[in-house]
Amino acid sequence: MRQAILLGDYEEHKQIPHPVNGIDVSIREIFESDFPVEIMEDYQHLTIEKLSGCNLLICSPAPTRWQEKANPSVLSAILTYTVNGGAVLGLHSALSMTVHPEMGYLFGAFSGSHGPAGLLDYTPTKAGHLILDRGCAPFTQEEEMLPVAFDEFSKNRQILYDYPYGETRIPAAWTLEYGFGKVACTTLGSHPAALANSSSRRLIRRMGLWAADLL
Amino acid sequence: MERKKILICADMTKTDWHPLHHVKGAMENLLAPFYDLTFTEHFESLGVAGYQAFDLVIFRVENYMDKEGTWPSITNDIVTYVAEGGRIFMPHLVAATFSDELAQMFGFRFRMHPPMEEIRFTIPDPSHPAVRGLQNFSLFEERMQLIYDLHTPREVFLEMETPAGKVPAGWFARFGQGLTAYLVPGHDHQTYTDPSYQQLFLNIVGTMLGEGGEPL
Repeated sequence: MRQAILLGDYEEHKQIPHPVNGIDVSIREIFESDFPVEIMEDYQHLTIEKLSGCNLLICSPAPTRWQEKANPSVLSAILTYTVNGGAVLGLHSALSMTVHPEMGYLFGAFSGSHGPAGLLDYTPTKAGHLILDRGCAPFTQEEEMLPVAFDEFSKNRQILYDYPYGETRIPAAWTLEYGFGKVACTTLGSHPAALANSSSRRLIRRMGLWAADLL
Repeated sequence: MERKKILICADMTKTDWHPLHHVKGAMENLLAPFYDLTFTEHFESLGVAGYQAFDLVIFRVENYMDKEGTWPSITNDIVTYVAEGGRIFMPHLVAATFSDELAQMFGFRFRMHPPMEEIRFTIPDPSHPAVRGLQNFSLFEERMQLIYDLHTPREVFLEMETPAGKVPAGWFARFGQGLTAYLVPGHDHQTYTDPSYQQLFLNIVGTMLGEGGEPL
């Protein structure tokens, strides 16, 4: 039976940035017809055994919690899973995982702090990627501007969507390969509302299915 | 006390530029008094468990192209081995960094090197265990011009003087639960019989094996 795991942190009494509250609902709806999504909050105990039957690992941890919970064993599990053919989908806060450089190698990118939230015009590139079918249209979405610094040694990285910001264009969604694994990453998903519109949902679903070899 | 085991992956039959036989005797003289050594050029079929049977892997491999068909699985094995706690030391040779994942793991990609020349190596922190007992030294060597991955948190224990200033020439980098090391010098027998290089090499191996100080 197919299965996905979503790494995230719930906000209960104490406020945290980018809690998985609400994102969990959206992600389960997005992949409703594909696989059940298990939300994993105690990912400090993540092992390669836990990931071995996983069709897609979705990363959306709260940055402060990731810093508390991540340890070399967790990094090892994610790296080993991916390099040996795993599938990874990173949402907005996944880039905060790159405080550990191994996760930057895996996502093909590093990020600094985000800019202000605002309406961003997401535009598909001409990458000719399997994910970008005719249904992938431009869309506008309120989201935090997140600058992305690509790791120049990444393998087969392709940008799927970007948006204009001042004089430049900022990558918003991309794919790459890591060993035998496939990784898709987007800066969409800082809060549940960013996953509410049908265009971002469609894009994220296709990215996840591509990584999982189900597209 | 049980002697620690070192696997040395090197080129024995494909010997274009850096054949093992140029340095094998010197390596044995240096390491065999302290460690059990196994030399191989057929690491492509070892698998992760094969590497894990050793305490340290020294990767002195250049003729990567003859293993092109198996290189993706070699890469996966090495990434898995190091992520899970393995230790790999790559003196001088750079072929592994033609693989994207290994370039990231070691923290650099090879650009080129000019003809051999006298190179001045300097020590930024004399208290680092990898350079214990050493002072700045010079070697007639290949000055590797490297593209450094700016995101790699490298612990530099050796630098070299270049026309553009000092650049890293030896470092450790953590990766998952494991550890990598790269060292620029190590071209030939002349270097391997230099007393400073021998001390440095032994220090690096000892440090990676947790003998007398842990890096990072």
